[in-house]
Formats: sequence, structure tokens, C-alpha cells
Amino acid sequence: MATNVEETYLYSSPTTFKVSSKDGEIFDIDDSFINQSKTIKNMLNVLDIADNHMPIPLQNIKGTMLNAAIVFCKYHKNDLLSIPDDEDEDDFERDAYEPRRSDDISEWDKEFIKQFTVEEGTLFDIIMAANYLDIKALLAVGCKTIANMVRGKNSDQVRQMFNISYDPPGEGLNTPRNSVTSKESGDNQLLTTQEKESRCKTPSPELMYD
Amino acid sequence: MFHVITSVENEKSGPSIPLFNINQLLQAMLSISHGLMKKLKKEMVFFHEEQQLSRVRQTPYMLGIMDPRRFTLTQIASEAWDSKVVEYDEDDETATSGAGSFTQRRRRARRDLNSLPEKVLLYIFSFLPHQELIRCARVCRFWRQLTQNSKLWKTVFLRPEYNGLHVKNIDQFLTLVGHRFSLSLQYIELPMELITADVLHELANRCPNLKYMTLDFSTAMQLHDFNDLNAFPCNLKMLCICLSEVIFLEGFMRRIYTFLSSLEILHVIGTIEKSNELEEEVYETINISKIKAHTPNLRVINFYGIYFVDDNHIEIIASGCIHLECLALNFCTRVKGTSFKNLLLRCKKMQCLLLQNTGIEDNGILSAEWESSYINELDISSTELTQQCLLDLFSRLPKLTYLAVPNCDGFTDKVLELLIDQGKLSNARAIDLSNTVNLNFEVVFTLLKRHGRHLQGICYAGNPKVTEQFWTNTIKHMKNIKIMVMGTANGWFKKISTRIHVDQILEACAIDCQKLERLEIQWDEETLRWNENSSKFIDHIRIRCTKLQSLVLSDGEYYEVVKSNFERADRNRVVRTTTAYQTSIVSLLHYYNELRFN
Repeated sequence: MATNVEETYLYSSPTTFKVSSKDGEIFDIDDSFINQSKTIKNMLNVLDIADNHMPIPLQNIKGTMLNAAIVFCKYHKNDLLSIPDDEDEDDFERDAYEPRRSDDISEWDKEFIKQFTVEEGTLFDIIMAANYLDIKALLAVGCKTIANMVRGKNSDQVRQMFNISYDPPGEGLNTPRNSVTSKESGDNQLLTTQEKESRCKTPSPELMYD
Repeated sequence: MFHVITSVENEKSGPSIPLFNINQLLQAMLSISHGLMKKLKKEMVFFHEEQQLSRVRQTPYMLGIMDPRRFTLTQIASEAWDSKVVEYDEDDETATSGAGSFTQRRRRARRDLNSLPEKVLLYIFSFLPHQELIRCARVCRFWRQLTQNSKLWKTVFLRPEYNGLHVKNIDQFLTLVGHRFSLSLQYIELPMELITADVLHELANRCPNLKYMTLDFSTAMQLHDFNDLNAFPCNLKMLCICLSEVIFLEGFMRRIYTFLSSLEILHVIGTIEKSNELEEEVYETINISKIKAHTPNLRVINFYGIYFVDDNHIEIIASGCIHLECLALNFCTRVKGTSFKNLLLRCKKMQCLLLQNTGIEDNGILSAEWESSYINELDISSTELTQQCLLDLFSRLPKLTYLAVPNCDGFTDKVLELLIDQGKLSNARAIDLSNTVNLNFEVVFTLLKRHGRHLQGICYAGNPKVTEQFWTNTIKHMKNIKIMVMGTANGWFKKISTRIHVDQILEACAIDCQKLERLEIQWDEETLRWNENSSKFIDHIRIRCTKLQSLVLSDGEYYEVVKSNFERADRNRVVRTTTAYQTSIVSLLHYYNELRFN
């Protein structure tokens, strides 16, 4: 924790701040939250807020989500900030071997994320909140959870699970004549869907998987 | 003016625009000073809060500092804000009331997975292997488009036998190289069928960031024609070549030598796993001296299981690759060690020598000048060096951070005592002492007691005299341990008469080793003693050791109990059997990432 103290305290003295959610709830946030939320950290660095300030409005986060995020950050305040910075930046130095794991969510995090569901859409809300607040660890937990849900399902199941409407295939200019085969047994329906969907502008791969 | 601020503020709520420069942006738009803008914002916030919560407090200090002109502005702005807020509220109400199909549909539209920003969806997809991605591509057109994002295709495995994708149509694959991989591609694995001049040309021309490449010739019966090959990725950092038993690669290699100068890591994987040892003819299918002549920058060389590699080849390497830091010769049985003298003389940067299952002999080791080397990681597993040789070797070596000596009969009490007395293991990170028949556990106990604090990995399995008491007494000295292997498999064979109270071991780990990541307990079902109260201890280790990602037990009832305990807590893949998994300390090697292949 003590390692990046200098970095953390770029903004001025008070260590707790008030924030207000979309539905007007006001929360106190402390170091644990500020250190993990890049958005808030940057905001505070720019804003230079005085002691008895007005709550900072976070206009697209609901109170329940903000509260959850604060709880999450409190729990993880002692974690090393080990998640590397945006991997989608052109960071070619990063070890290319390292596989992304999604089965390494800790027990506490699993319990925590269970309160959010797909049916009510709250899982998406918390991910949105994490994305907006730029809390890497929370975003990772949310995204890994969804990735785990997708894993091992066929496209119909995925559509059903996330309520994605199957959009009718458009007429692509160059319809590839490929068919992706699958070793899964009894997956004939899947294959036909694939053929319909494969009319897409970019050429599709002929890839078969084990 | 406030409309501008509100609209910009709303914009910033959109996740696509980075937020940190919003204030500068506002300043520019309204051409006002930083301080003034902050004040304006504060006013806005203030009024927003006030109206929203109907907390009309007459705060004198606020009014006091505001001049009348700005105050009127504030009012207008806050009205605008207010109407915005009302809109939001309505929205929420219809959404949550959920009556009628219309509102339900609307709610669905708002809370769809696909309403997440593209960046987040890509992040989700980045956790999925390519097999899953291809399946996801069938879900809807939007997903299909997303899965084709080249950022998701940085690392591509195309060998089906190693969980890779299978490419059926090479022409379509060629177009993919340019379209989907292009700039993003960093790592690619090509099976025999795909190593053609066309594919390599395309990779060379379209993928300038390709750094790691594996070429698998192991299944080759015949080589493609490479006479036209005149381009090859030239920024490679790592090249891994899997040899074929019978195919000579020179025809291919002589086309690519000139492109290899950037190489830092070279793997050449032999065929030891595929062939039986009785085969008499051994072909030298790749020319090591020619490779060496074109790769002056090699830092890491890994020859794995290559029959023909012997000390002459090591001499050749030593003469060319002076930057070599790590040399792995595991399962190169013809290496006797006579070349090590020159190797250490020439390659002064050498730090890591992995000699598992090589044919090294005493005289070669004795003649090398270990005292002037920087070697700190050494693996001599399953080699036949004698006690005298080891005593000499270790007294001359500098301090070791990694030492693996399993199955070394020459590694006796005397040798370990020497290492302890001379403090050679005081900084040790990982030690493997498994199956050392001439080593007694009392010395190991001294070692762990004295140097256990720094240890991250310890393997000490296969000594039938070691019981749970040994471990409960040593575990408390190893607070930083990450990897631990203990126990003796096949108790019936080794005639273990006592039974092992496994609960006590788990309890000791739970109390003292919070950093534990991998634990392997090899004692089999008949030897372990446990009862219905054991679940309490399993709970304990599960809760305390949150980083535990692998717990390997021998198959049996106890394994089932532990497995179901972990599964109830949603930690599905933690508990494994010794039949399918083996824990090793190699991941603690400094060069582990460089040494990985397949």
C-alpha cells in the first residue's frame, strides 16, 4: 500500500469526499475508492475540491451500484494494483504467452457478484458503473463472470441467456461458401444457423475446433 | 452557458469519451478561467442537489460569494438540469414498474448485454479462447463483427492437437492473415500444413509486430517446397521449431537464416516424446552450427529431447552466443558435460542451466570453472553425478536461487550440509529434493528451519520416513511459500506403516501459508487418515488460502470430499488428482516465461 503514496496524494488534503448518484443518494468515499477508481482520481486531481464541498455528481450511476462499488473497493483496498494498464493499448511488450484466465475470481468476489443478475440487468449496470468509474478489478470480475457464462454454451443458449434477438442475416456482397464444422454431436441446428449467419462482409475463417 | 456545461457533463457520462480533460474542454468552450468554471460547477452541483432532495437550505456563505449576475445564470441552468432529472426519473419509473409489454421491451432494450460499450464487450471476449469466440460469432451479427476485431487475435494457436484451431482452407486463411491478424498479431503457432511459402510471405508482409513464432514440423512426412521463399518475419524475438524425426529441415532453414538476427529465444524441440528409444538411426535434422552463425543475440536456448545434440553442439553454441543467459538441455541424453568448461568461459552471462535427464558425468562437471560463473539456477534432476562431484560443484558455485535435484542419488546429507553451512541456499527461491534416497529428512528439516522464510517453492516428496509431523514443524517457517509438494505415493510399495493425519497439514498451511498457490499431497488413500471432522479443516484452508489454485491429491474418497467442498464454494478446478496433474516448481524459474513452449 505504501508504495504509491506520492502518486495517490496528488490532489489536496481531505481524504474523504462526497459523491452523489443518479438518484440523488449521497455517499462518502475514501482512499480505498479513490485509489481504485481512475475516473475519480483524475477528477480530483483536476478539480481541487475544498473540505466541505458539494457532492460530486455521478450522473449515470445508480445509488445501489455506487454503493456496491464502494463496498467492493473497501474490501480490495489492500490488494496490489496488479492488473496491468489497458491491455488494449498498443502494448506490444506485454508477454504474449500469458493466457487470460477467467476462472480465477476469488471467493469473496464471486459472492459479491452474485447479487447482480442478468435477468434484472443489474450485472450490466455494475459493469457499466465499473467501466465509468474505471475500477479495473471490479470491471474484470464482472467481465470474467459474463465470459464464464458464455463459455461452453451454443449460440442459441447464449441468445436466450442474454436476450439477444437473432437479427436476420443480410445479403452480403460476397457470400462465402464455407461451412464451419463442429465436432459437437447433435449440433445440426447450429450448423445451419452458422451458414445463414456467415453471409458477412469480411471473409470468414474455415476453422474447426476440437 | 450552463446548457453547454450540462451537455458536456452529460457527454462525459458516456463511457466513450475520456473524462479527465473535460474541464479543460469546458474552459475552452466557454472561454472562462479554471477557477471560475469550478465555481460554476459547484453552483450547478449545489442546485442540483438542492432541488433533487428538496433540501432548500439557505446557505449564507454560498450566496455571499456569488454576485447577482451569476446567480441568475445559475437559476436558469438549474432549471434546465431539473427538467433533465425529471426525465430520468420517468424513465426509471416506467422501467421498474414493468407493467405491460411495451415497458418490458423497453427495459430489455436498455439493459441488454449489447448495450455495454464495445470496449467492455471486447474485454469480455478477451477472456474466451478462440474456440469459444468462433461459437460466439454465431450469436448475432454484432457479436460476429466484434469477434473479428484483430485485438482479440494477438495470440493464435493453430495446432489442433494442442487445443488450437484447425484451419481447413489455406487460401481463406491467407486472407485472414492480412485482415484479421495484421498489426495485432504477436504470437502464432503453425502446424506443418500451414508452413508454406505463401503463409510465411503473408505473415512477413502483413504482421510487423509478430514476435513469437512456433513452427511445428513434428508430424511432417515431407517438406513443402520452399524454393520461392524469400521473406520471413524478421522481428522475431522467439522462434520455436519442433523437429521431425526423419525430415531434414535444411532446405527450409537455409531460406530463413538471414532473417533470424533479432532472435533472443530459441527452442528446438526434439522427438523424444514420440519415438521409442530402441530406434537405432538418429538423423541430425537441423544444423545447429548454421543457426548459431546467424543468431548472435540469443539469450535463451532450449534444446528439449534432441537425440543428436551432444557436447560438440554445445561447444559450437558457446563459441557464438556470448549473450547466452539460460541454457536448457533437458532430455538431451548425449550431453556429457565436457563442453561446460568452454561454455562457462565464453558465456559469462550464463545464469541458468537446466540439465534434467542429461548424460552429464563427473569429469566434465569437475573441469568447468564454476567459481567464476554467475549461475544461480541449476537443475540436475535425474542425473548420475556422484557425491564427490556434487560436493566439489556446490562448493565452487555462487549462491543459488533455484536448485532441483530430484532423483539424484549423489545428493546426500553431506552435500546438503555443505550447501547449508556455506550459506549457498540462503536466498533460495525454490528447491526440489524429491526422491533423493540418500538424503535424510533431518538435514532437510535444518534447511527449511534456517532458510524457509525466503522459500517460495519446495518439493520434498518420496521419502517414506517423512510424516505429517515433519511438515507441521516446518510449515511454520515457510510463510512465503507458494508451491509445496509433499508425501509419498505408492505407500504399499514403500511399506509405509504409519498413517498420515492430513488434517494437521492442511491446518498448518491454513494458519501459516496465506500465499500458497499450489499444494500437492502425494500420499495415497490407504495412507491418509481422516474422519468426518476433516471437512472443518478443508473449510479452513479453503477460506484462509484464497490464492490456492491447485490442490492435488491422490484419487480416492478423501479427494472426493475435498473436491466437493471446494466445488460448493464455486472453486471448481482447484482440486485435482495426482493421476492427471503434477505440481512442479519450474514456474519459479526466472526464465520460466522464456522457456515455455507448447
